[in-house]
Amino acid sequence: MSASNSTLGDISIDQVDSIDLEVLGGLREVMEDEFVDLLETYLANAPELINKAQNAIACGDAGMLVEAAHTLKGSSSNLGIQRMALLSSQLLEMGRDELVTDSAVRIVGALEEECQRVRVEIEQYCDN
Amino acid sequence: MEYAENKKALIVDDDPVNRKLLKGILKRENYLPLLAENGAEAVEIFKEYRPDLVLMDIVMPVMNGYEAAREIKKLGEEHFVPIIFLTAVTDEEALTKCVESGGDDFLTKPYNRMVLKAKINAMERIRGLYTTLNAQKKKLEAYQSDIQHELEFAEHIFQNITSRGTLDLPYLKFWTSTMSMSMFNGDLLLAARKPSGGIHLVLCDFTGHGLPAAVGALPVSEVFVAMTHRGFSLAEIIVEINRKLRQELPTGFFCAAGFADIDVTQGTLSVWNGGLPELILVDRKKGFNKRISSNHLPLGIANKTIKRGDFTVTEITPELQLFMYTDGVIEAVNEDGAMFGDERLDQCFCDAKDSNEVLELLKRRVHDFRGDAEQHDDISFVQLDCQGARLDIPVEVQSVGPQGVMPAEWKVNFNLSAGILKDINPVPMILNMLTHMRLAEDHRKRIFTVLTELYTNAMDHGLLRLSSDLKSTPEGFANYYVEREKRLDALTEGQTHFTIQQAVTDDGYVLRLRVTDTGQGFDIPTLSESPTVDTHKLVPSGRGIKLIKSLCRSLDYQDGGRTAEAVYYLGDK
Repeated sequence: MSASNSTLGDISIDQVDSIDLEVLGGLREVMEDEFVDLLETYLANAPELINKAQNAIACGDAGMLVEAAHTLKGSSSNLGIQRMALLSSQLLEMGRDELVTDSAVRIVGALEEECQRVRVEIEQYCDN
Repeated sequence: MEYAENKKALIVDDDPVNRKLLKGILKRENYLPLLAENGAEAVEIFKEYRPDLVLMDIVMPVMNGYEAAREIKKLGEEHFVPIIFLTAVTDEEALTKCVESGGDDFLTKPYNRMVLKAKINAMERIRGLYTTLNAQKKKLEAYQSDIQHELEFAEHIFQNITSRGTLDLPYLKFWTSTMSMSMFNGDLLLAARKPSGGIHLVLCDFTGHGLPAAVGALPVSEVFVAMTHRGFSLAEIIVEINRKLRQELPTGFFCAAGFADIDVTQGTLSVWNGGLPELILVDRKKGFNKRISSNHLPLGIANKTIKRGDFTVTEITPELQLFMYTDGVIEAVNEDGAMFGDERLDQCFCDAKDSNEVLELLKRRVHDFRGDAEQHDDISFVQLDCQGARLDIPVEVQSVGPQGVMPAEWKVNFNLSAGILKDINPVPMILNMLTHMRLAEDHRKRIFTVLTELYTNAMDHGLLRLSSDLKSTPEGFANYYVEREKRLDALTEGQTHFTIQQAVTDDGYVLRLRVTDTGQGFDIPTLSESPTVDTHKLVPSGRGIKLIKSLCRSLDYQDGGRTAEAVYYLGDK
């Protein structure tokens, strides 16, 4: 497994902020008018991916779980949405190890909760 | 390379968030973003818009990034289209696959704008370099194709011109081999039939190789063939070729050449060597072996006057062979840098079971000697069977009367004084005139022979008072010509008069050829009562008259031998 994954794997959820505001600030500068659109796309896309992961676990489909987790991890990390990235990374490893168990269900639950928090935080951020 | 603002980047990612993010970043870099959700879409968009840069995710539905990259690289062909793979993973196996499918770089997630910018810049530089290189390559290819075209064109002309010198003669065998990597041979071999029978032969080796060397072949070939056909002597031809080469070719460019003349009437071979390796004369049966080394400058260097005494004259015996070759033979180099050399060449003559084997043996030995080493010079080796050439009298063509609309009767007179006779041979001039009278080729050749004999007699025995006895031995030949040269130089008075008259007689057209000289005349009976002709022995004096008689209706001497008139039959009315 790659270095980035294991590093992420070693970090506990509580050790990181929900969102890396520095990354988000950089993006705001780069994206200009499309910054809000980018975040809205993320916020619309993330629940769909979480839903897809849920279905995958319910069906015991490790491949589908990997797909969903991979995409969610990618876009989350690109936007500096760290906790989401970390959680989907753990989910991704489970999928790869084909360990679609109760702990996977727990992580999906955590993702749902985190997604709500991110939405609130982002809305606040954008209002500022 | 300056990029316009509308340079395009294709973003291939199945995740809308990533697409948007990259789109934003690339817009900042002045790219027009094109978006694709999977590999198949990417290939389609690529075909239509030909983007300048591709950012490619790996794991995608329908068609993954590796496959799409391969397709795009195939479509790009000669254009460099940088593909940057977007990857979360950095394990070697995945990266290897990226490279194998045509990826030029990677961008690891999370995307860093500065890193991406640096990578794009690097790709642009490579792309610019590639475009320049490609343009240069195309230019070079076009140039090369032009050159090739020109060379082929030149070769075509070259072949046409040099092939005028006929080499399809049964008594002439040769081997030519062009140096490696060249279309042109800097050696030139030409043979041309003389109007009186017999041939002129020349082997030239021009300075250098390839096209520059071959260029000299054009004037040489023109002059050699045209002048031989018109009946000029070899000496005159050599002088003219030399003059032409000096006039037309750059300094430092010259031509080593060996010339040979087969004289049917005299039964002799005359050779001249200006810069070639030794010419070899061999009669195996008689144990005759003579080498004629170069004792003249090659052609194209200095002004030249050629005297008949400059030629080595040999009586043609049945087995007499002349060998001429260029230095490419003896200077053929093997892989160790050693040269083939004279000794190995001589050995071929010793080892050949018969004379016809020499050429093949030499060819094989040079080839074996050289092995895999490159050929650095053109090679030519020629064998002339002299007796064959001597007996090569053009096939008789059925005689026909004067063609076309020429008048039935006409008459021309030439009067040539001593001063002119030193410089000019009038026979080719007269023959040239007769050509314009539209005489058939076979007539022209025979008339040339008759005129030559009449003129030679008038000059040699009339004005120059040379005795034919001088020529009774083969050694005497050279002396005869030296003496002739001397006397011609000293000639201050005397004239030769030509009258050519076409007339209609009861049974057809005739041409009266009358040559008068102002000399002291000679005793006719001694000359005409020549012994039977032994073809292997020189019987020079009587042969000319016998020949004229065989070609003409009649031959009469008047005024104590000072006037000779031959009547040549042209054909029916």
